[in-house]
Amino acid sequence: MHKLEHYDVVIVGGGIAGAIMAKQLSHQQQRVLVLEAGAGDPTLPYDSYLAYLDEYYRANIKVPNAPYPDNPNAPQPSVLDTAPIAPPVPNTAGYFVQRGPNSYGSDYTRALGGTTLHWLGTTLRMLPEDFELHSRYGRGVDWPISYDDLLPYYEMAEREIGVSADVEDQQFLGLHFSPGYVFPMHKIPQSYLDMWLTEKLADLQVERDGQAYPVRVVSTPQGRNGMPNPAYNNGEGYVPVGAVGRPDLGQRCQGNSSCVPICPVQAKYNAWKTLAAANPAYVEVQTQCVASRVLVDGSSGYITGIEYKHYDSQNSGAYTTHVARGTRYVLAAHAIENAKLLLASNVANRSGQVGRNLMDHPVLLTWALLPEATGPFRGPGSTSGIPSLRGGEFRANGAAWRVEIDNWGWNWPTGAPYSSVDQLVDGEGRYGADLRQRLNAIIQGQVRLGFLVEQLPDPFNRVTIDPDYMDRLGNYRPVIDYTITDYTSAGFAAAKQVSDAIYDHLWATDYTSYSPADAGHVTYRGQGYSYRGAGHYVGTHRMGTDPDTSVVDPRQRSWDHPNLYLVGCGNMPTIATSNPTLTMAALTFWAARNLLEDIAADKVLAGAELSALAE
Amino acid sequence: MPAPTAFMAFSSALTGFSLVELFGTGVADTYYDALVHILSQATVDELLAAYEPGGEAGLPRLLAHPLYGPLARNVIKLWYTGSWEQLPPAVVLRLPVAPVDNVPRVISAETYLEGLMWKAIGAHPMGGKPLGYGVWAEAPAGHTH
Ligand SMILES: Cc1cc2nc3c(=O)[nH]c(=O)nc-3n(C[C@H](O)[C@H](O)[C@H](O)COP(=O)(O)OP(=O)(O)OC[C@H]3O[C@@H](n4cnc5c(N)ncnc54)[C@H](O)[C@@H]3O)c2cc1C
Ligand code: SF4
Repeated sequence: MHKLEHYDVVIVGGGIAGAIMAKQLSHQQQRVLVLEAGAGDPTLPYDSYLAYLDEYYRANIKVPNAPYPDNPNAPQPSVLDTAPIAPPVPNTAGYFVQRGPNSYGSDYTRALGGTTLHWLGTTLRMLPEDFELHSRYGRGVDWPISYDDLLPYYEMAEREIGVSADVEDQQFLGLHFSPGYVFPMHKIPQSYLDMWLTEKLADLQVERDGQAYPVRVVSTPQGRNGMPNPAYNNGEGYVPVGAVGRPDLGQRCQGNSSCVPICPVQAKYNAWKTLAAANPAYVEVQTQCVASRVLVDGSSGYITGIEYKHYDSQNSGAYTTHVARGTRYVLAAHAIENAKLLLASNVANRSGQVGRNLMDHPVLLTWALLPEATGPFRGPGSTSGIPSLRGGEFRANGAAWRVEIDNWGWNWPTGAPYSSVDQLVDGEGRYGADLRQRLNAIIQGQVRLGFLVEQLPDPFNRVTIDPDYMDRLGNYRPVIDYTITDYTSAGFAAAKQVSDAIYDHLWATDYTSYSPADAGHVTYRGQGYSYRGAGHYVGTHRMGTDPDTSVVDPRQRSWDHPNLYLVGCGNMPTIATSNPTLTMAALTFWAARNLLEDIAADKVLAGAELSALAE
Repeated sequence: MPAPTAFMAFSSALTGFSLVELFGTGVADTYYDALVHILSQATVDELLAAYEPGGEAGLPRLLAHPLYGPLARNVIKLWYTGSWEQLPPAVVLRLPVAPVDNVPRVISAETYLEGLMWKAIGAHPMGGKPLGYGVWAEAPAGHTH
């Protein structure tokens, strides 16, 4: 339970968005309270991280949330709960109530540190054209800010997350950088597979909408520690941030190959690092405090408090209710939970857009056996991608995507190497030296591509609340309506064609298969496609220039409540083709700056009032 | 309980890993104990007795047996993955296996990290025994270009 009667700022959520806010505000001597729904010792002891690691080792099914135990008082979705939906009967197997017709395939984590505990750490910037989707291609909406507006904040986000990349590799499709800019660390070495593909695909061109595109393999910027670039920050260099509580660990990625669901040494960024870097004299973090309502003064529109439920133990549904009060408020509870909280409180929703425009990157996986050994199951999940078709005129007609080249064989689509062992032992009756050799041979040839396909903002793709569906503490469960539109399916079709062209070019044997029994399955022009979730919840409280069609203004502040900021991927009007967290982190730095500007403006106002009184 | 010689010989023949490699995992005893716990001492003894006379040469026959076959395959998977896989119903009907013992699970964090499949595929267990910074950029072991 919180300690002070009044804070300068009350933040809901201790993930990356909340942590960046807490860090930025506390270093400007603002008294901050962070309310975190999940479990976790606010002092972030290293041992408690090891407990997650042990949980992962012992988990029979190593899904992203495997290390982070289910907590009935702050429930979280699991990919194991997804299934095909037969409307009007919703899928209520897990935390979500999925009304479909299509299945939303992603999870998130409700524990101190949030979902970056199990993110992969891909940190691409959006393309300049992504900010202008509507004016360029007549699709979706434009952002109220441009790439160039966000550029300085991208740099702050890249410092905070600790991004490893080479600027030379990243200048494609209009992406540009400040003069002389370098990333904090050099690029993470590309995998042997990446280099093999670079060479083999160098002369391949593919077509989309009658236009030719190269298939260029490019290193991916990543939030994991590589070799510091001495040229960083005008020659000041960069010191990699190691594990919280054990800074000697994790200074470099060691190739543990388990970034999702947990990096054993914290070479990969997680939000603990930002929480630990906040000014402890000004930040109070309280865990096991689930925000349940935002209180508002009806006449002024000012937010007056956050009501929350504190529980002592995950083993019991007993709780006590409290109200935390501050001058200003920030909701940073994740795109779904932010929207839920606003809907439950009936605030910030003059536009009726809260909860709407929910997006993800439906991921089309394709997998094949290469004619050569390329050494999978070594290194970070992905070190390169194929960004050549992230932008282009075709976006007028169908979704763009980026291709992720995966380093872990068929792990995601088939559960290899477990599934390969089963197949050889049970299916083919192999044993002994023959089994050992055969397993090596098939795994060594495994390659898997992932196409992260763009979705457009759609008001009917949304999260809502329904008093019929509550969790153990009496908070709402998210009710999800989700449709994959033809625009996105057109992206699937184009992706599969390009995948076919790539595998043909490599003389690879394609093993991709999609089944209507898969949780996420759509049929488009007679072909079936199965997609997975990417964990990229975007769009539930979008920014815009018009209070009638957006929830926050370009400064990330609620149109309706002058002392309320929203942060997180919910603010993003479109999802484009980049994993969203770097952009969201940049927006959060921007929001922190603006909130501090509000505070300064208030001080000036107060000062003016004082001097008026004195006169 | 120390894993008896017969169990180790049986395991070596099934997995294609030498006795030295199997002992090197440090979890041989853990597996033997797990088997005895799940299947009973009598069943494990019976299985080993079925193997011994024929030895390695008799394995194809043993693996085709309706009872010993599935048990032997579970021994392979135990070594390869560090996990117990659920036995098929037809096998369970014939054995005094408690349902709680027959649930699929990782035996321990250690057995996960010692799964032989990681070694067989020229990698390391996901989340453990990392190869070091940048090693993923090198050609896979035994690779000739
Ligand atoms: C498997 C997976 C892989 C991913 N990989 C990438 C990637 O490579 N690149 C990328 O850009 N993005 C990736 N993402 C997405 C990324 O994890 C999210 O965008 C990011 O974590 C969102 O940050 P956040 O702070 O808004 O929310 P979160 O990180 O989810 O944090 C929200 C916090 O708020 C707390 N909270 C929730 N409800 C309440 C409440 N009512 N009261 C108080 N506290 C509350 C939660 O417990 C949590 O701690 C991935 C996601 C998944 C699932
Ligand atoms: S490859 Fe390993 S060390 Fe590197 S970030 Fe991933 S889990 Fe961490």
